[in-house]
Amino acid sequence: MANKPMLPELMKTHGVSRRAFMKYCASLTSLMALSPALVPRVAHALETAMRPSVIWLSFQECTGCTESITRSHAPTLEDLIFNSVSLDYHHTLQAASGHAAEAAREQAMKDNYGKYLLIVDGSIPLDNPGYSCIAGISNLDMLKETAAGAAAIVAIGTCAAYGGIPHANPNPTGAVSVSDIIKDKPIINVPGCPPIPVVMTGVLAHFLTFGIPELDELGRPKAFYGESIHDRCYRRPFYDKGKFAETFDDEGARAGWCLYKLGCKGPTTHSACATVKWNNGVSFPIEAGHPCLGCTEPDFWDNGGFYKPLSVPSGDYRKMGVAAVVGGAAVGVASALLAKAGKAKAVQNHETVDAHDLEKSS
Amino acid sequence: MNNPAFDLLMWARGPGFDIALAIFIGGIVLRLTEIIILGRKKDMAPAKGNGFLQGLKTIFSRSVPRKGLIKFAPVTYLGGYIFHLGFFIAFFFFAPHIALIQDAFGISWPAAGRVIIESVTALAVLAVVALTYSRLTDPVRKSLTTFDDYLVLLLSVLPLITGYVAVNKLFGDPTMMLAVHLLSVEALMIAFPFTKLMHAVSFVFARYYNGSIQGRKGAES
Ligand code: SF4
Ligand code: SF4
Repeated sequence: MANKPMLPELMKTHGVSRRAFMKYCASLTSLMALSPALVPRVAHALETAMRPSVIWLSFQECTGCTESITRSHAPTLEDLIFNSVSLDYHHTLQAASGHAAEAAREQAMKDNYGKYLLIVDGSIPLDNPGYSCIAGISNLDMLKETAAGAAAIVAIGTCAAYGGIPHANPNPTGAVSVSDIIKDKPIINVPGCPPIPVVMTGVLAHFLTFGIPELDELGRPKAFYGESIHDRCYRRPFYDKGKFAETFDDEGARAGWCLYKLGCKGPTTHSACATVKWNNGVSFPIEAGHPCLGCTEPDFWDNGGFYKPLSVPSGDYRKMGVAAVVGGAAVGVASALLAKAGKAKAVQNHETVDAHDLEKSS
Repeated sequence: MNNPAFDLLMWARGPGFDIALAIFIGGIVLRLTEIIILGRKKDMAPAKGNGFLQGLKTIFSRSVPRKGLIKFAPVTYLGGYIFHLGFFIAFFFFAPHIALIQDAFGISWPAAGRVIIESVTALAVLAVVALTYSRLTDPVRKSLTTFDDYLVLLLSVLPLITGYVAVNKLFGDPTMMLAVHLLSVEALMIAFPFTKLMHAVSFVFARYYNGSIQGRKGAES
C-alpha cells in the first residue's frame, strides 16, 4: 500500500473536479468549526498530506462502523480522504488474511513506529481473553502492543469509545473501552452507533491537517459533539410549544411534533446528527420519525429503555409504590393502635383528685 | 469509559426514585392512617347543624382568603398564592412531568408551552424569596419560624431552580443538571411526610374536621 496515489491523482481517477474538492474543503472547514480563512490551508494540507500509516483494529464489534465509513454514498470525497491514508491493516477490508495479515501489521508498526495512527472499533473483553482473538492474539494484547508505537489513537464507534453494546448490562464479556486500557496516548473518541461517515472522515482530516482536535470531557472532538441534538433539532419549536406525538401514528406524529414522549434522548445526547445528518445530508432519525437513542453517549443501551421518556423512572417503580402503600398502612395502623392503647391506659391510670385530697396532701 | 453525570442521572431515575417513592408514599399513608384511626372524640351533644356538609364546604372555602388579609399580610397573601399556583402549573403542565404521570397512572392532558412554564417558575421562585425575606425580617414571624420552615422553603424552591437551570442550560452540564433536578425532587419527596410539607395532603382532613365541628354546632366556618 506504500505506493498508493496521492489525493490529487485519486480525484482525477474518480472524476472529482478541483471545484468540488474546494467545496468539500470549505464544508469540512466549517464542520471542524474553523475559520473560513483556513480553507486553502485545509486544501493544501489534504493535497500534500504525508499519508500516514493507519492500522485499524476491530475487536468486539458488528462491523457497522466500517460499513458506515465505507458504504456511505460511494464514491465521494469522504472516501477519498479515507483512501488518502495508507491503511496498512484492517482485517475486514484487507485482501491478506491469517499470518500474512498479521505480518502486514507488524511491518507497518516497525516501519512507522511512533508515527502511525491507530484506529480501533469494538470493545475489549477483559473477563476471558478467549472471548475475542485475532490470529490467536487476544484483543487486549493486540491493543497494548499496537498502541505502544502509535502517535495517537482514534476510537471509532461507541464500542471502542465507551464499551457500547458489548458493555451493556450485564456485560457478559467484561467489555471495556480503549481509554479504559490505554492511558499514555492521546485518544480521540468518535462515538456513534455507528458514527456519521463525514464525522469520521472529518476527524481524520483534522488529524491530517491540524493534529488532534479540541476534545470534551468524554474525549470527543468538540467541533462535532459540542451541541446536543435537542438544541439543534428542527422539532424543537414543538417541544417549546408543548406539542408532542403520543404514538408513532397519531396526528402529532404525522404533523412532525416533538418525540420526547416517545422516548427521545435528544436532550442528553451530543452529536452532529441534527446538523450534518445522514446519507449525504438527506435526513436523520428524528426527521424520519424515530426518537434519538442517544448512541453517542456512554451506556446509551442502559438508559432505561429507548421508548421511555427521559423523565420517567427507569425501574419497576409501581411495585415499590404498592408495597409502600401496604407497608405504610400497616405501620400506620400499628402506631395508631399503640397510641390508642396508650391513651386508654392513661385514662385508666388517671387518679381523680378532689379538694379533700388536695387539702390532705398540702 | 463512564460519564459520571449520566450515571448520576440513571441512579436518580432508578434506585434513587424508588427509595424516594417508597418513603414518600409509605410516609403519607402511615400518617393518614394514624390520623383517621385516632379520629376525634365523639360529640355527645345533639347536633344543631349538618357537620358533614359544613366540613366538605370548609375544605374549599378556606382556600379563599379571609377579608382584610391583603392589608394585614400582603407578602404572605400574594407570595403564598403565587408560589402555590406557580408550583402546580409548572408541575402539572410541563410535558416531561405529564409523561411521568401518564406512565404511572395512564392519564394525560395537554402540556403548556415554554413561555408559560418558565414564567410561572420564575414567579414562584421570586415568591419563595419574598416569603423567606419576610420571615427573616418580621420579628414576630421570625420568632415563630423553626428550622423545619426554612428547610421546607428550601426543599420546595430547589426543584424549581434546578429544573429551570436544566431546561435552559444556564450552567453546568445539562445531563448533570437534570440529575440534580431529579435528586432535588427526591429530597422533597423524602421530607414530605415528616415535615409541614404534609399539609399538601393533610389540609383536607384538618379543614374537614374544623368545618364539621363548627357545622355540628350550627356555626358557619
Ligand atoms: S458502535 Fe455500534 S456500529 Fe460500531 S461496532 Fe459498536 S455496535 Fe457496531
Ligand atoms: S424530538 Fe427529541 S431532540 Fe427534537 S425537540 Fe423533541 S426531545 Fe428534543
